[in-house]
Amino acid sequence: MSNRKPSWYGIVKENDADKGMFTEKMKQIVIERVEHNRYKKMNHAFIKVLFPVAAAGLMLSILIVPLTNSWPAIFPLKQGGDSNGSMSPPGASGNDVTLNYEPAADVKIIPETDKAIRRDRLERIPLSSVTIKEVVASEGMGKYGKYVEYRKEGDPNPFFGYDSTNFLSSVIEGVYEIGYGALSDVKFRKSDAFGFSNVRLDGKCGPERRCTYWISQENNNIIANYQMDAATIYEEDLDGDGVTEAVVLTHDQDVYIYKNIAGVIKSIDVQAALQATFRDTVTYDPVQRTFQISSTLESRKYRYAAGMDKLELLERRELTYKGTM
Amino acid sequence: METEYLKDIDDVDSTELYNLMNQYGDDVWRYAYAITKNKEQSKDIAQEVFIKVHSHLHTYRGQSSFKTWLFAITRNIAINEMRSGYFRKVLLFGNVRNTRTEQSAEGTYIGIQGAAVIRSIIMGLSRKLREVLILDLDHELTIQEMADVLGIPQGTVKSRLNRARKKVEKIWREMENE
Repeated sequence: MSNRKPSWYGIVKENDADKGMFTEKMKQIVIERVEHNRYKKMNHAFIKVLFPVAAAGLMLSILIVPLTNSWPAIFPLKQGGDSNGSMSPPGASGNDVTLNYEPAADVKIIPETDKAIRRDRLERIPLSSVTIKEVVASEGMGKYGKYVEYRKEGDPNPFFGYDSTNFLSSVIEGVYEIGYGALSDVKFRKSDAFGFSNVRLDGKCGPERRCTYWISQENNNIIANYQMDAATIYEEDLDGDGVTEAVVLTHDQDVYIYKNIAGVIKSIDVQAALQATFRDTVTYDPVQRTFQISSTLESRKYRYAAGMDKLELLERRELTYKGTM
Repeated sequence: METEYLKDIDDVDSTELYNLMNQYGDDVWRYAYAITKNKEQSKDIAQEVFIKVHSHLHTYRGQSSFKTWLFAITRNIAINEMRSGYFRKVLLFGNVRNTRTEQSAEGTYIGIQGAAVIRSIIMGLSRKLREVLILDLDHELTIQEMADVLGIPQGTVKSRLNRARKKVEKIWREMENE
């Protein structure tokens, strides 16, 4: 093969329209994620290495210092009450936290950090128009339907959809098309999230990512409400109004609550609501239905208020100095 | 920016990472696009590449040029994501249909422009041919570097590149004669 470049190389290179595709926003997202990972590692290292060392030092001081001077004999773990110490508590310092739910942003392209639930009406396409590659039926003899992966003639992309004769009867065998791509490790569950009669379909849709579809019937249409980074999902009636909300933990362990507000599924980023920094950890306890924000210095536990979009402070726990000089 | 020093360090700070993204971000995106043919997916892949660069820089020890190493990561991520059906952008049927309509209209519009026509021909090639041609045309990798990125012998790179160029020329000629 000749090493000489063809003449048309020059034409293409001169008219390069793809400069600046890696935008400033993308760079910013990368930096934020790298920083986030760095803090997570630091916290992890602190807990694994530094914390035991610090704890051992502390124990030593408790044993030795009282013998030599009038320093504190104990650093008790104080429960409840406000912090009077100079150390920074995690996140917001107020008692209760109002939750201002946001609807999904009106964007054609879902940004990397966007975790909103969006909805779409699924169209039914005849099975005769596609080549089926894989069918995964839900447990219980197809009780909740089937996941169907297929190809379309002339299109290199795989497509997938949901097949159910439970919702709508049709003389034509068909599949409700969800989109292009494919899921692996597919799971079905019955779900009443958001007050709909749902089937919840979720599966692995990328490296370290699971996508979830709440599929329901509305006025003879099949609707999919979907969230695209739901590593763990808990469906609970948090505010006690009889309608189930969804608490979702993303792959990065960020916590979101999704709620049906006047027919629109809106979301709240719990980290943001609690004003958590990268150093703080926010967790959800599905048994107690509590949200907890923790740093190495303090933790606060919240429960969703009955009938209100608010997190009520249940408990504040902090490590404080208590003794005499 | 000189990247020789990267083989001797295990970590880069945010400023250095930002500079690397300035220097290579578009190249990585373009290569991901050559593989996936999906602009939005390529954005995600390109971002993932630099996150990997940050966390795995200690594994780069100058065994190839930094760009070659970067492209090998890009290729791995892009192919893995295609295999696992990474489609979280422009996902649902309505959106897919809209996207295609736009692409089609755009394709008609740019059809009169030579560079865009050639680009569209390249993007219509099979992935094997498209990939090697983009690495040569856009990124000017040597045959050895392309072989390293693709994990194939140099002879195969030459043969694919030759086929790719001829195919583009043939289709372009046919289109001009229409």
